[in-house]
Amino acid sequence: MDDINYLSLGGFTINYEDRAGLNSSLRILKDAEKYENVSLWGRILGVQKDYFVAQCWNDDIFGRKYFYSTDTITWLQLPEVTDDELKDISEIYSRFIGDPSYEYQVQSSVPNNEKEPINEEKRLSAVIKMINYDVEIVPRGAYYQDRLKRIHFNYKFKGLSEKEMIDLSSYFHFRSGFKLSLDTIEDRIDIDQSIDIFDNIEKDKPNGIWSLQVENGGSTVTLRSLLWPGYFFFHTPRSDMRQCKFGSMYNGFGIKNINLGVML
Amino acid sequence: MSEQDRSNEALNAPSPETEDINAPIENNEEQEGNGEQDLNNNNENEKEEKSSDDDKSKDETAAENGEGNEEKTENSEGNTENTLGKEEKTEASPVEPKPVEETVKKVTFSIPKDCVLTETEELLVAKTFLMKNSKKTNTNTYDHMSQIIMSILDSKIENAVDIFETLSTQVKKKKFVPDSFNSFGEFRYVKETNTELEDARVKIELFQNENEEAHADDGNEIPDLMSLYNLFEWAGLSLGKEETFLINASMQKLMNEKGLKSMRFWGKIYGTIKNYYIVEADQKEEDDDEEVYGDDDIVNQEEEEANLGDENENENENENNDNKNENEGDENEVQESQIEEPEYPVPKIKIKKPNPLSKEIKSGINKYVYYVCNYVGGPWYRLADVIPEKLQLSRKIRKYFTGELNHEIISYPPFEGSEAQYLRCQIARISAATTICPAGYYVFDTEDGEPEDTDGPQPIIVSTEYEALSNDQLLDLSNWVHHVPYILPQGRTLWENPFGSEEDEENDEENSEEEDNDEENEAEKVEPETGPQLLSPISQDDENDDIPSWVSKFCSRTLAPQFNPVCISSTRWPGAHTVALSDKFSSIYIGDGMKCYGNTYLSAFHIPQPLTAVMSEYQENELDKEITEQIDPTVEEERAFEEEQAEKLREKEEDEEGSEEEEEEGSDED
Repeated sequence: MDDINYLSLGGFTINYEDRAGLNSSLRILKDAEKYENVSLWGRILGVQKDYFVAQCWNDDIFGRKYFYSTDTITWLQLPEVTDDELKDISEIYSRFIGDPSYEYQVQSSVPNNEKEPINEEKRLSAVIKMINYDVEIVPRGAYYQDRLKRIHFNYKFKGLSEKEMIDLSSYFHFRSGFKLSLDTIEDRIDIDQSIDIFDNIEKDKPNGIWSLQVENGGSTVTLRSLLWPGYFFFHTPRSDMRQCKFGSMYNGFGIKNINLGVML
Repeated sequence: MSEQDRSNEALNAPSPETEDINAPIENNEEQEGNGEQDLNNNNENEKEEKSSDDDKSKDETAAENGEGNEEKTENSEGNTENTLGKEEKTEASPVEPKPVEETVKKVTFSIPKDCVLTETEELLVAKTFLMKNSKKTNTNTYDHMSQIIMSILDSKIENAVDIFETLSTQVKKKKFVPDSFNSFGEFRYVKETNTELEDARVKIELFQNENEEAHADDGNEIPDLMSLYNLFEWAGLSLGKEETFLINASMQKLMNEKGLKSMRFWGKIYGTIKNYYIVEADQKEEDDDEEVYGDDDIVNQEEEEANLGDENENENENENNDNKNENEGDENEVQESQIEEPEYPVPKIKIKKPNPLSKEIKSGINKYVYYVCNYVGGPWYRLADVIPEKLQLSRKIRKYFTGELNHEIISYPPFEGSEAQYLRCQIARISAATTICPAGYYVFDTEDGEPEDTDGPQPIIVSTEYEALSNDQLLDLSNWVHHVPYILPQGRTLWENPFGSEEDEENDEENSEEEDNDEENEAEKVEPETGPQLLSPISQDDENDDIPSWVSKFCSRTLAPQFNPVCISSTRWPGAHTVALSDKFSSIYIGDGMKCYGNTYLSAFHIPQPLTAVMSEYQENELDKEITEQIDPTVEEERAFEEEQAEKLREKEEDEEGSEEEEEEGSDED
């Protein structure tokens, strides 16, 4: 929450009312749901109302639970989505309305097989899942793996060096299920098995799917995903003038950019 | 001081004796050379001799010597100490003592024998010698000694004598400056090339400029960006407060440089490599301003032209292109044909080129000029005016901005322009679609003429009778109106018949007579394109599929309505917002400059214009018609053929006669 100033590099911010509301309500949520970690995941802009989304987790960072709120005060847990539903939802491209019970009619591929309409709550959950899989990133070295293959946050992470900052290969997809491939010798040169635990985003296709920019005269680097417009990541390494910070937030319509291939 | 001296000398007690012995000897030599001597001198020498026995007495003599000049007391101290150092350093540098005597002798020889040397003169002689620089290290004994003494006095070491060598080396070490190229163990400092530093310098410039022009306020309109910033922040839009301030400073600078009449921060467009900060400015018009501003304005205009010349080449190119389009529309086509002029016969692409539409100058979409910069404090580039054709094209393509103005837009249909032009088109479209104001803020300027007389938009002026609407009223979309004219599909705000006036100029070689006829026919059919009237309420805008094209809401849920800013956002152009609070309102665009096409599954896709029909194959001349193409056999045909072959094989097996001939025939058929 202290990182809101960085968000303005992405052109958005959270106004003071929401900040105050979030600060209090997230603390209460953490206590009520008995989670060790609670943080703001992002905001999905609806037509009538915006959804604030919070993520909570205990030990397993990949087993995060999501809560949403339209007023920053009351939080409701998002339902789990099945794979079938996920597939259907990925074909919805309209704007979020801002009403969790709003129902979307799903076009079924098989005629005479009416599918149940999907409500916005489920869509929200699915979209978060997709965004997390597709674009959630962390800088290299921010998380490490111990001998028991558990992933921990690296408290001694100082930030990327100036050279690494502008290199896409030093940002990782923050998702589980990565298998280190050491096919060629080239791959093995710089590999640190405890740090290189995720896929890096350099190989994402098509090229240019990430917009990396250096802001504040080189002290901060921002990454915006063009696949999911609205996903914003910032990172500033530690220096004598500031702390090491990295973080990301989604602030968008929750719509995937399907025209990306044409637009680049 | 004195205590220290004493302590030092007390510690140095054994060595001064030897030193003092040396010094008198020199004196004695001189004395021997000089027969006549002052009594005073003798006395003093005697005293010095005595001082070798007693330290305290020596102090007194030193004090006496220095009566005339304080510096000399120091000198004397320095001298004695210097020699002290040498005596002790004999181990370290055994060569030094000998030259001392030799050079001193030389000095004495140079002095005429009958000349009487006073005590001070002798000191000077000694001093000049001691101050002689060593050829090796470019330092001299005198400075070195005084530095050692200074360091001793500063640090107040009790046993300075014991560690005198160390002190000496320490002092010498300090002198080692790794600046000379050949010095051993030199560290070369690489000058820090930090982008952060450059950025800071750029930003500092803004401050310096602002201070100078604090009073240069000649009625220019510039919005209070900082107060607007607070409104935007309520709506969840922000560029950062610090950055906003710098933008403001940068805008003021630009305004003073270019002599602009009014200015508005238009917004920010994100590119993939760099971003654009965009400022909308109203230039001073010559006609209007000559009366008001007089000579100053002319100067400004000239400066502006000069500045334009300095701007990047791309701009110039654009300007040039524009001019060409303006003046001689044909030239453009001619140029292209020159470029495409092939060395080998290639069919000429017969695409009917529509007549270039004349550009709107200082009106319509080109009423304002736009300046963009890539980073705060960076140079502002002026964007060229919109060309109607480009605007038409910009509607058909969908490309991310890169942040490079010179970047060529590669798209279909071909845009054939730089990103600067595309950016300008998008700005025009966004402005036209999303710049809104509360109803009643602008009124039609009735002085210029009746609204019925003119086809196009009437001039509008800020209403003097405008009373701020209450926030509840602002929430109602019908209280908001467009105040930027609608851009017709043609790419202009004022409709112009593309076939009307310029028909005479159609003497292009490429245009055949048939086409001319077609156009004439078309020209008769064409009806003027119309769009919504200026100052029409935004609630009348078409719906964006199933959701309204505008959404208004209060920024806060708890604030009292009179303090609660209203945010009106466009769903058609995501990123375009207008925030209002009582009498303050402002539009801003923060986004990637792309239009939202729709909300349904199908309309979400950007469907590029279908490719034009593939042209029929070129045939060089009629004689080559021998080469013909056959239709590929279908699967069924192939199977039939295979079966045939198989049957033939069977026949072969049955009748062995003439099988070879049949095979040959079969292969021929293949």
